[in-house]
Amino acid sequence: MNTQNRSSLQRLYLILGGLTAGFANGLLGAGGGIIIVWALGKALENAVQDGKDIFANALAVMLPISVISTVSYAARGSMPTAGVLHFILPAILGGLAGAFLLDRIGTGTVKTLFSVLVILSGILMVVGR
Amino acid sequence: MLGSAVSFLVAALSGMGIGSGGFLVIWLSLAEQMPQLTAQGINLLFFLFSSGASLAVHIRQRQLFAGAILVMSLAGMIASPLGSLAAAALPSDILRKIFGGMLIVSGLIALRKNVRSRKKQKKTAVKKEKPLYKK
Repeated sequence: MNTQNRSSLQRLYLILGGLTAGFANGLLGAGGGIIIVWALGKALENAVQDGKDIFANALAVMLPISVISTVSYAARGSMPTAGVLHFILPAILGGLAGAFLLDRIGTGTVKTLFSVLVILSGILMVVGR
Repeated sequence: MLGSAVSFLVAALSGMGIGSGGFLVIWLSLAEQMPQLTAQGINLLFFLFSSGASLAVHIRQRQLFAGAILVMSLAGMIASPLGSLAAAALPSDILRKIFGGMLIVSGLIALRKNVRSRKKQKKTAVKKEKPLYKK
C-alpha cells in the first residue's frame, strides 16, 4: 500500500471512528471509548511506541465529545443538578489515582474480571424489567 | 456513601485504561433505580471530571497526536447531538436494553483482546526461556 492510500485509510478510520463513537456517546452516555481505542489503534499503529499512549489519546478525543453530549442532555432536562456532587469529587480523585497507577500495576487480571462483570451486567440490563 | 465509592472505583479503573464500561450507569440504573436517561446524563458529567483529571496526568507522560485527536473529536462532536436526540426519543426500557447490548458486546471484545494479549505474552516468555543452542 503506498503512502497516499495509507494516509487516506488512516483518515477514514479516524472520521468513521469519531462519528460512530460520537453517536454512541450521545445515545448511551457511554461506550464511545472502545470504538475510539480501536480506530486510533488502526490509524496510529506505525506511529505509536507505547500501547498506553493510545488510551491517553482516546481520552483526549472523548473529552470534547462528552462535553457536547453533556450539553445536549442538559438542554433536554436529563441532567439532574441535585445530588451529583457525591459523584464528582470521587470521580476527580479516582481519575488522578487511576492515571498514577497506569504504569505501576499490572492490569491483565483486573481487565479480565472487569470484562466478565460488564458482560454479566449487560445481560442483567437486557433481560431485566 | 456507596455511590461515592463506586464513583471513585470506576474513575480509577477508567484512569488505568481498563475502561469504566458505563459501570456507573449500571449502578445508578439497577441499584439506585434511576431512569436510564438520567443515569446516562450523570455518567457523562462524571466522565468529564474523571477523564479530565486522568488527562491532566497523561498529558505530561504520554505521546499525544494532535492531528488525530482533532479529526476524531470533530467528527464525534458532529454525531453526538444526533445520538442524544435519538436517546430522548426512545422509551427508557428500550434505551436500557440497547445499553445492555452495548455492554455485552464491548465486554466480549475487551475479554477476547485481553485473553489474546495474555496468550501472546506467555508465548514470548516461553520463547525467551528456551536456550538457543544445546550445550
